[in-house]
Amino acid sequence: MTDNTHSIPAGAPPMPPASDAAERAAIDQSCRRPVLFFFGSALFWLLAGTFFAIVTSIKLHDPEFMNRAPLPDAVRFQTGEFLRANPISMQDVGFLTFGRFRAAHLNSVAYGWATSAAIGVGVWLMARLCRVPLRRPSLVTAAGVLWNIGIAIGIAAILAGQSTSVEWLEFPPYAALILGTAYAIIAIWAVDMFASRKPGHVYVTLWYVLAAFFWFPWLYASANILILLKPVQGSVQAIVNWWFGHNVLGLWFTPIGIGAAYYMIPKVIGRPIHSYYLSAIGFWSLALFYSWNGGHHLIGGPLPAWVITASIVASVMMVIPVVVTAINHHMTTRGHFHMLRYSPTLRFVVFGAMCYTLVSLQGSSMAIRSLNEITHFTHYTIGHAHFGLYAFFTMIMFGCMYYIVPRLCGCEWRSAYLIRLHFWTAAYGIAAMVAALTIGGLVQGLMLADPAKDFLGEILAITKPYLVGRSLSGVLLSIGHVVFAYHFALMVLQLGRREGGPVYFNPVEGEARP
Amino acid sequence: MTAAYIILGISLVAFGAMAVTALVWAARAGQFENFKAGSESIFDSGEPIGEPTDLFPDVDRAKLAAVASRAAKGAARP
Ligand code: HEM
Ligand code: HEM
Repeated sequence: MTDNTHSIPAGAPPMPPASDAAERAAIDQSCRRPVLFFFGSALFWLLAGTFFAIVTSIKLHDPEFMNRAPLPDAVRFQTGEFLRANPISMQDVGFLTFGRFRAAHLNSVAYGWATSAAIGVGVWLMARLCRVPLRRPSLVTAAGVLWNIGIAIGIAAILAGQSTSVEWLEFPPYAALILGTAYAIIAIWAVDMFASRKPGHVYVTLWYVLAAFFWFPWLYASANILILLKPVQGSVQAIVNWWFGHNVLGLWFTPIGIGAAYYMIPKVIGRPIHSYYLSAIGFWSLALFYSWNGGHHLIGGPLPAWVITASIVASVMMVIPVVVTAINHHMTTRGHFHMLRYSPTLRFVVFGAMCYTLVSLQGSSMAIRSLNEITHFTHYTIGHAHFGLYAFFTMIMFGCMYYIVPRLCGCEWRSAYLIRLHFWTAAYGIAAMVAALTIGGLVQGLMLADPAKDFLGEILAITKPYLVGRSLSGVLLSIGHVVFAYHFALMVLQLGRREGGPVYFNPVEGEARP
Repeated sequence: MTAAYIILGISLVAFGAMAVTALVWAARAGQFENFKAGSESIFDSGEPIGEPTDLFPDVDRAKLAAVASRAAKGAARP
C-alpha cells in the first residue's frame, strides 16, 4: 500500500460504483449532510449539557453557587451604595435552581447529545449495512432540524419552570410532540431503508440498529400518551414511567451502542467477530428480556410484589446477553490489543464495550433487593447512570465519530495529540467520577440505613468530599468535550489533513490494490 | 385504571410478540444458516480481512505492519 495524497473532494458527486471501495465511498458520501448535522448538533448539546452538569454538580456541595443574580439596574439604583455591594442587592433566580438545572442536564445530554449522536451513527450504519446510498437524505436532515427545535423548546421550557417533573419525560407535551414527530420520521425512514437494502445477509449490527429505531418511537409515544395526555393514576404511573425510563436505556441506547461495537471492533481490526452464533443469542435475548426490567427502578416502592420480582428476575437474566456480548467482543479483540495504541476508534469503542459489561453486571446486582436497599436514593445510582451513559455509551459514540467523520468530510483528523488528550481526559474523568460516586454512595447508603446517624451533621458532611471529587472529574470531562468539539469543527470546516497518514477511505487507493 | 393495565399488558405482550415474529422471520429467511459468511459480510475486496481500517493520523504504517505480524505470530506484544 502506498500513502496517497488524494482524497475525496468535499461534496463531490458520488462516483460510479466501480469497485467495493468506490461503492463504499459513495455510500459514505450520501450520508454526509444528515449525519454531520446530527453529530454537530449532538456536540452542541453535549457542551450545553456539560455546562448544566458542572453547575448542578457544584450546587450539590455549594448550594449558594449561582443561585442569585444582581437585581435589575432600575431597582439597584434605588437601593443605594450600601445595598449595591451587599448580598441583599441580589435576588434568587428560579431558573438557576438545582431542580431545573438537573432536569436541563439530564435532558440535554440524554436527548440532545446521546440520542442525536445515536441517530447519526445509526443512520450511517444503516446505509453501510444495507449497502445502498442513503435514501432521502434531506428527509433525514429535516427530521434532525425538527428534533433540535424540539430539544431547544424543551430545555427552555424546563428552565422556565414548565417541566412535567416525571423523570426522563420532563419535556412538556408540546415539545414532546415535536420530538415524537421528528423521531417517527426517522423510524419510517429506517423501515424504508431496510426494505430497499441489497439482498444478502443481515449483519447483527443492522438487527440492533433497526430494532432500536423501531422501539424508541413506540416507547416514547406510549409513555407520553399514558403519562402526559391521558395520565394513568397512582402506582401505575410509576410503572409506566420506569417501563419507559428503563427501556430508553435498554432498548434504545444499549442496542445502538452494542450494535456499533459489533461493527466497529471487527471492522477496525480487520477480523470477523469471534462467534457470530453468540452475537445472535445476545441480540435475541436482549430483545426478549429487556422490556421486563423497568420495575427494578421501583424496588421498595408501593407496587404489587410480583411486578418487582418479575423485573428482578429479568434483570438477573440480563447477565446472559451481557456475558455473551462480553465474551464475543473480548475474543474478537484478543491478540490485537496492540491495536488499541494505534486506532482512536478502537480505543474508545473497546473502552465502552468493556464498561458495558461492567455496568450491566453492576446493574444486575443493584436489582437485588438487599443491595438496592442500601444504594437506592444515593449517589451510587448516579454513579451507575454515568457509568452506563458515559463510560459505555458516550465513549462508543466518540469512537464511532472518530471513524465516521473523516469518511464524510474527506479529510483526516488534524491532530493525534488532540485525540489522545480527548481520550485520556474522558477515561480518567469518568473513572474518577464513577469511583467517587460509587464509594460516596455506599458510605452514604450505609449511614442512611443507620437511624442513629445524624443526617445533617454526619451524613451530609461525609459525602461532601465525594461530591467535590465529582465536580473536579466533571472539569476533566469538560476539557475533553471542548477539545473534541474544536477538532470536529476543524473537520467540518475542511481543515483536516489532506495528505499523509492512513487514508483508507480513499477509493483511489482501493482501486490501486491488485 | 383497568384500561391502563390493559394498555400496559398489550405493550409488554406486543413487544414480546414482535420480537418472536422477527425471530421466526429471521430463521425462515435463512439468517442463521451460515454464520461464517455472515460474520464476514462486512469485509470485501476494498477492506479485506486482516487489514486494520483506522489509525491515529500520526501512525507509521510500516512500523504497525511489523507489530501486527509479530502479534500474529504470537510473539511478545510491544
Ligand atoms: C461533565 C460531566 C458531567 C457531570 C459533572 C455530570 C453531573 C451530573 C449531576 C450533578 C447529576 C445530578 C445527580 C443527582 O441528582 O444527584 C447528573 C445526573 C445525570 N447525568 Fe450527568 N454529568 C455529566 C455528564 C453526563 C453525560 C455526558 C451524560 C449522558 C450521556 C449524563 C447523564 C446523566 C443522567 C442520565 C443523570 C440522571 C441520573 C439519575 O437520575 O440517576 N451526564 N449528572
Ligand atoms: C442489564 C443491565 C443493567 C441492569 C440490570 C441495570 C439495573 C439498574 C437498576 C437496578 C437501577 C436502579 C437503581 C436505583 O434507582 O436504585 C438502574 C439505574 C440506571 N441505569 Fe442501569 N442497569 C443495567 C444497565 C445499564 C446500562 C447499559 C445503562 C446505560 C446505557 C444504564 C443506565 C442507568 C441509568 C441512567 C440509571 C438511573 C436512572 C434514573 O434513576 O434516572 N444501566 N440500573
